[in-house]
Amino acid sequence: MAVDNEILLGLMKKAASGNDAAFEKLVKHFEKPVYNLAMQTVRNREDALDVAQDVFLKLWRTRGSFRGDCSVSTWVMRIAKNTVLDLLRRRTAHASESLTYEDGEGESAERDIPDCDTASDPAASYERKERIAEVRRSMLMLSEEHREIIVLRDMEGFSYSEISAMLGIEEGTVKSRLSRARNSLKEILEKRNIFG
Amino acid sequence: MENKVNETDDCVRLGGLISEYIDGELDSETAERVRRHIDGCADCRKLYCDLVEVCRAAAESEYEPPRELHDRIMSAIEAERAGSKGKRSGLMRRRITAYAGIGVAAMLCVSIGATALVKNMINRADGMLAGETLAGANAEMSVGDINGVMLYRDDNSKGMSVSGKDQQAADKYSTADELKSDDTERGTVDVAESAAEVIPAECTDALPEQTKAAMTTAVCASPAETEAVYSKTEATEAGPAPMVTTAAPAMTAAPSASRPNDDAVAESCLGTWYFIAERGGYSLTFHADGSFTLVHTDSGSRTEGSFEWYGEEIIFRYNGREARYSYELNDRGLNLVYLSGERLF
Repeated sequence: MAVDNEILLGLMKKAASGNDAAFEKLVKHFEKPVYNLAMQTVRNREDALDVAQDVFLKLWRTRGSFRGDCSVSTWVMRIAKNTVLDLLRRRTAHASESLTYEDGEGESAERDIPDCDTASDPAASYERKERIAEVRRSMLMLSEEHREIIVLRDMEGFSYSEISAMLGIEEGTVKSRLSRARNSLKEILEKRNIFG
Repeated sequence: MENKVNETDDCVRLGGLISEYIDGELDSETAERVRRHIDGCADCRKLYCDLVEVCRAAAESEYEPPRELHDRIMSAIEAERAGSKGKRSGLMRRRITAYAGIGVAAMLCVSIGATALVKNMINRADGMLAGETLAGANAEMSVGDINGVMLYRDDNSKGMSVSGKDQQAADKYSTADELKSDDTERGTVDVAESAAEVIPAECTDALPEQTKAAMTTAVCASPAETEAVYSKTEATEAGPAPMVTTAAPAMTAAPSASRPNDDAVAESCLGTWYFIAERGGYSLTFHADGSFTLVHTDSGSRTEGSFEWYGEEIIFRYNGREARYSYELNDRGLNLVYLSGERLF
């Protein structure tokens, strides 16, 4: 999330005045963090896609009402968080029964992990894919709070102050929660012999 | 022994800052102390390396959104835009065929301002969002802010859609004569047969002749409000779209709206209402102690303050500001129309 808020603000203003290209740029910028936040919570590819679509529909509908009293990232990720919560409230949760991420056909969704240079070292590529899959499974064992904050900081690179605004918590709480989340994930990874 | 104790104290104090150190969130002096501690303490050095690895592993496990996501999002937005226009067209046709029967001349040839007025009224009647462009009689124009919203008790605040029967009527008939000739659909027309039912005489009598000739069937709460609508329309015909002020959205018979006294209104309105205004979905809760809570459902942002019933107005006071709305409680819900002050919604 290295893009300056001023740039994003400019795009929001243009989108608000009907500039579709500007809105599409915002979509491209926030697709990944929104999808990741959704995926890490709903743990189902189709639901994550639905959530992401809903988030950007809501963003489009309210593009004229953004007043700039928070960063654009905060605005978007708050919409994302609330949309995810809405979905969770609506559906029956069976998350604890499955430790795999599923796509619509019920297959594991590790196919999004790209092969890295399989021609030169297919074994290393396979190992990497396995490690990533294991890390994702380990993330499932975290509490929702811990998983969410690792997504926002370690995956999407939001600053502490942005995360504080997005989640509506004090910055001190962000620091302590993130520290505990990372330590929890470390313990899980060690127990599963993924590293350590 | 003392060194070991100090080491442990440092591990607790500085080791707990390793996560922030990794993120570069410490001031330079504290960061330096943490760095020196990590260099000198094997346990904390391992913790540091492990946490760096955790951060890297988490970052690596980020999902790449499927390629279809972007197209799906843009298609959904396009569909919403297209869907809104289609719905609006159907509604416009329904109103036009219904009112052609009562002799309001040249509905399709009204001034651009009046067309905007019709559009606003239709939008408000169906709880649709404002701020979209309208292909008017002669040109595209932007509809200004809608100043009224209909609040509903349940969270079905997408707005009222055209009933199946009405939509069938709209689709079936292209002229008022066709509509009137079909007895089965007469009910749709009957309620609008008489202009007097819809437009209080005192509203129209005061209007300039030019406006009367071009008018649509605006339902206004008062003659003054009607005058305000049309004077704005006339003044801005040549310019940008007017900020149209309209009142209760009844497009059929004048609503049998109740205007109970303040105590009855206060009691009936307590609790939570849901609506969609220009800026998205909201919930508005009137509390028994005279306070209110407004929540913008998408962002979660809240506004709290006090409210007061004042004759035919409700006054919201919040953050040192004041907003006045007229209200009408009827069997559809609670209709609020912005009057003055710093808009709450």
